[in-house]
Amino acid sequence: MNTRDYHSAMDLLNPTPELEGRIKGQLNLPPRRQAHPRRLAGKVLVAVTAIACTFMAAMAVSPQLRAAVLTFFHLEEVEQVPGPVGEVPEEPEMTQTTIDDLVEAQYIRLPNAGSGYSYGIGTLFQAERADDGSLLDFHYWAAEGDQLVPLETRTTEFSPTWDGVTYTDTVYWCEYEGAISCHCDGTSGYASDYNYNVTSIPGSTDSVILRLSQGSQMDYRQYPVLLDLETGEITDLLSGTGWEKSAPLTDVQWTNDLSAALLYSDHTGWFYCDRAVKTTTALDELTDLEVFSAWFGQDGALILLTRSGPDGDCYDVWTWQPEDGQPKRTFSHLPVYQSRAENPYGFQFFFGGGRGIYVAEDGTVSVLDLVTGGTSIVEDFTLSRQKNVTLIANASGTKVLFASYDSQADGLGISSLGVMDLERGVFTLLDRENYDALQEGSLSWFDEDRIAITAHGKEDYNETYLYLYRF
Amino acid sequence: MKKQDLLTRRFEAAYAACGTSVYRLAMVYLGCSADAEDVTQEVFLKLLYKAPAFADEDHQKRWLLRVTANLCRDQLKNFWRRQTVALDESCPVPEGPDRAVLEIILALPETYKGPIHLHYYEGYSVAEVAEILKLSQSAVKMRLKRGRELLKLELDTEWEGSV
Repeated sequence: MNTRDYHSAMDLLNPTPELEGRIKGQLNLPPRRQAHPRRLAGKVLVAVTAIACTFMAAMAVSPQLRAAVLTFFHLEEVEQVPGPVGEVPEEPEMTQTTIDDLVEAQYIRLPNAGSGYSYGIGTLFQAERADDGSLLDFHYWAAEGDQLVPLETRTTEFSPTWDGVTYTDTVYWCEYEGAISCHCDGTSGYASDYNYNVTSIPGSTDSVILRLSQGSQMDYRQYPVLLDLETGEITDLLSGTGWEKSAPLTDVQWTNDLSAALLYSDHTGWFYCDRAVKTTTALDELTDLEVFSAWFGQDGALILLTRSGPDGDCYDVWTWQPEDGQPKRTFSHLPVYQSRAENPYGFQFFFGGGRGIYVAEDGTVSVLDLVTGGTSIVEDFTLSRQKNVTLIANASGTKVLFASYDSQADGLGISSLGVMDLERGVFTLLDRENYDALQEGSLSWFDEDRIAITAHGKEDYNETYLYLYRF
Repeated sequence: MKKQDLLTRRFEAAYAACGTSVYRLAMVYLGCSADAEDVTQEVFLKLLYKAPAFADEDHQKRWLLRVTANLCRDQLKNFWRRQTVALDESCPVPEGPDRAVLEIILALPETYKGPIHLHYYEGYSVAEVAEILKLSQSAVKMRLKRGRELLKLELDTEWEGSV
């Protein structure tokens, strides 16, 4: 190849003529709402998935919570977020500090951009790759006190076949505090017509769910199987349940004991699959509702959303026990919170653990228990209408992460960070400074107690940082 | 003139000048036309809402390419830092020598793509590539040398001795 070949080939790459008009269309929207439709769909999916994951986890509902009032503490000390260090360490390095004697912060520099953390499991990882991108080895650590403790990485090979495609690969995993962290690259985008990934099962240390998929966009379909981590044996979880009537599957949620599943298809809607009696039935048929969305709550009960209101723009929340048949409505006509609306108020969907957030028209905030219908108001706190905020529950639904953003920052720009502890009845909020020295990229729960923020250097994207906070 | 009209005019001018360059750099990194268009959109929205003041059009173009490279590398990180990408089936370039060349370019490890493209296609000097990608000049030279070796890129006369 010579440079003329390079030029000649590259000159043939041009954006579609529609792109310019599409971007112009975005100029009419407020900045936080702008997104490519394709990507926007992905964001909604991510949010819904996040809810689904947290709803699936069993949640202990304390009766005291229903009447509880959350007391608001705004910390006086402001966190000075550490800026870039400028060199990439060989292994993760951590420093630790305490802010206002209440918030423990662990600042970790990660070896390179092939490292990160397992959502909700409490482990860090680093991938070692060959020049061609293939995975050579995988390392896990736990952040304990002021130490990073290396964990033993184990591997399991698998090779199941589904719908004419054989999926052969290796899952890298470790066990830490009774939970499995697992990683598998899938096709990493090399194959456009199939893919696969692995997810851990809460409470299980011997198996993971291997999700096989084929097609893309409208043609996308998936199928779940169980992978035994010791033997590599594959178990077909849906065999004989009549799941075919819900095909093609686009999403599957499980109870922790895998005795039942919620099957969802963009084409056929929501189905309840009972593995014990081997039946699959449409949720609309079982509940006499037009189910818009569904999640597992505690003890196998389902939380259902249906549209309501004259224009169908509000939602009702229901609980339904598969055994007794009658759905019970816990909230009615909840308007959806639109942060960009002139007078934003309503119900926040992007919230898990069997709970929701309701922001009243005067800005006061309440935590809704979607299972019991109970509410808890946050005392002495109102949500500023100028601020973009995120609320995410931990897996068990006992704590809620709160973050607000600086819209002028390059990355997320998390200007304040807090936790609503629903069991202790307190909401602690920490203001942050120097957050824009790094480009913050993600925010989530690291484990049951700690919040994780990832960031990278603005000058060098290979500098990766993981900051953990325990309130 | 309304603020919205000003934004639209600024966008039209910038897109006409740099839209294709931004898209091509994104394609080099990502290999998928839909992803490259997403990045192109994000880059121009950043230009309109977050960009600093520019000394001239070339300054603006260097800024746009820098943001493009950063966003692409960010996306690749989300795919577990995969080092190479394949040309997406939706790419309109038909089978033939040019497509084969593109496939070789896209198979380069991510590290070398930016320097190679910005230097040999966009025509930026080593110092300019270093500024755009926030690398040292010696790192750029090293990546150009190694990238050339991987591509088996033969230099035309105009490039001889440039690095």
